[in-house]
Amino acid sequence: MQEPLVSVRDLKVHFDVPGKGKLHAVDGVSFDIMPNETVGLVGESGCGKSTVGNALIRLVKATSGEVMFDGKEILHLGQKEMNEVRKKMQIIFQDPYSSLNPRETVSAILADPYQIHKLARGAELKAKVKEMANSVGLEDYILDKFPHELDGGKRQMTGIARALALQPKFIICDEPVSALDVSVQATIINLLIGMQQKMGLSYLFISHDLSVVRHISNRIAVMYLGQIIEFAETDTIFSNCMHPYTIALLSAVPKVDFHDRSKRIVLQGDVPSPIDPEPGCRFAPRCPMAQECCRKESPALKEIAPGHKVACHFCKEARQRMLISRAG
Amino acid sequence: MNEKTRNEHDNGELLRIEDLYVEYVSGGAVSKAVNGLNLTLSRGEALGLVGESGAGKTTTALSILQLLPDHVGYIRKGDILFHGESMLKKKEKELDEIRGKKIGMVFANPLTSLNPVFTVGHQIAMGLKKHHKLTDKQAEEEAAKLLEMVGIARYRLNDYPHQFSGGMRQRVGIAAALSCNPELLIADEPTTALDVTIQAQILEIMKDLEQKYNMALIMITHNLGIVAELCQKVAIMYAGEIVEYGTVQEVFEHPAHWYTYGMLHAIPKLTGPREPLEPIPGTVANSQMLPGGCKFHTRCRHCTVQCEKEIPKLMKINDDHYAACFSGVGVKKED
Repeated sequence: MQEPLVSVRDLKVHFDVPGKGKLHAVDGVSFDIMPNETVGLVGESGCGKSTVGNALIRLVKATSGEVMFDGKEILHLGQKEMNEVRKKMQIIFQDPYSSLNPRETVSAILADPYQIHKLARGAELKAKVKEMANSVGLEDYILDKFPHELDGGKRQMTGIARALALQPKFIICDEPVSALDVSVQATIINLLIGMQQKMGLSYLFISHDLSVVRHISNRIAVMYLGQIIEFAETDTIFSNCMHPYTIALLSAVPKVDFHDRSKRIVLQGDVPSPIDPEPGCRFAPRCPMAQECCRKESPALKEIAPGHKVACHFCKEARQRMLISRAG
Repeated sequence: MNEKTRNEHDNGELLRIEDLYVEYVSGGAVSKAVNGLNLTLSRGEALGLVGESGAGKTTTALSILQLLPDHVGYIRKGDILFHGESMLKKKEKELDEIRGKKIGMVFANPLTSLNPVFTVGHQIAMGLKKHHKLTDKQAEEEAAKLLEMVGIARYRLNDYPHQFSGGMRQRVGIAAALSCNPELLIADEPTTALDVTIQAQILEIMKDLEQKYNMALIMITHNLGIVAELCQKVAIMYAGEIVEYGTVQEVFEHPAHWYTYGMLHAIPKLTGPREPLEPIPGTVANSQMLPGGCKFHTRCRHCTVQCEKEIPKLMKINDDHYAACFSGVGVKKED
């Protein structure tokens, strides 16, 4: 059995909201990512998926919990040791417009990682930058351009090249294709998959777009209000998900398929506030099958089949009952 | 009204756009946003207007309502007929009678399209008071009913936009657009800023209304799934032109333009085997430097000499399907 590359245990990130209370952005999240694996993290806006990514690479401070990376606990490392870890752990952001320094050329942006970690200089640096740029499909003439002179796809390629420069093992991809047009989106997805195969990378792929996540992920974690409520192999999530929220979420996506005209399950209401959440299941206020016990006791994320974890008191019946209510 | 337009009017034609060219000028540079667009919409018909950013979808919508930004955007050529009458020749006063009353519009971002200093009740009632000459009291009652119709409790009538979530604001925007029972609703990416489960709520409401009021709909979106669920017809736009038009199923299942084909194959699927994606090479055409001939030819793998020189017109494939492509996707065309 392989050791996981990333192992997250009971991660919590709480923010103080003055005058209002504590915002539970991430509330007890645990999962593993294996070497060369892509784990998709899906959920709606405000569910805490980006905060999980940011907490892993310590762009926000975790309130409690444990993150093991490559056999080492990293949440309590000093600045110097953490810098070493960041060589192996990188992040790609959603918005390539704001994550690239507007006053640097592409070649300067790509030289940054080598210079910060004092890995190359002079002619060697130049050669490395060029090699990195070419490997993601950026032509040489792009190197002298500034970010504003590039289109969204080329900008995102620059962000990817920067993240790959130090040969990391693990990359957090935070909505990397959401800001791109569909024709460009495919290029970036193919690039990420290609680079994974070439360099043996692991990804945490954060996205709200279920079709993109399905395409790229080996396993998928579904988040709702700061918690993972279902975790399974990609095909299991799409063919046999058990949590009422996952079932509703999948049915809500508009489909192009004309042969699948199954009716949408429309959830009532909005996502409740994550500030000082009520006890009990977070999804209970919107759940079509919530019972008294759901409002009192928060269900734990339990393994109900090998590799398939669900946090629902009634997950055994959920699928059947939700699908009957859909037919009726 | 001449004989011809009256006949078409009787056929149930609601809106016709003829050979429309729209340009924007800024800093001396001319952007050709819409380039020879033709489109007909019948009463009660739901049309999806699909394309990537910069394809000219929103510009087309703004042209219909004569809402192009002053001094910057203008219609260079062509005409827009609503009920057979030219929108271009109407005076501002006549347009006021159409906007909001006969044609409603829902904008992409509800936070910028709602006025932050008025209650939502006031904003929904505004159209009713103006167009239907209702008293304050009657208008308030109507506004409350509209709010309930879009799933918001009537006690929230006196709340301000910032007190609502994104999905609720968009529902307020829809309630306001529908207040006067428009014959045509133009919805510009109404769910793009929203989460999937909230989007599902909005789509259900729109589907309901379409059937209840026999309202025509122009749904502007880049999401093909939304078009498949909501619309009967679809028009695919690229660089300011409609490159393919037809019933949704026909166009999506048998695309006849390489751009449509490319888009359908570039999007990951939710069902079926996971196949490698085929990206469309290059990037969306720059509206300030459009290529000659077919505007898609620089990105097309099947480009011929003819494509570089000649602009293809929409050609009939069958009664339900038209495409502007010389080297269509293996579909035998009739003349």
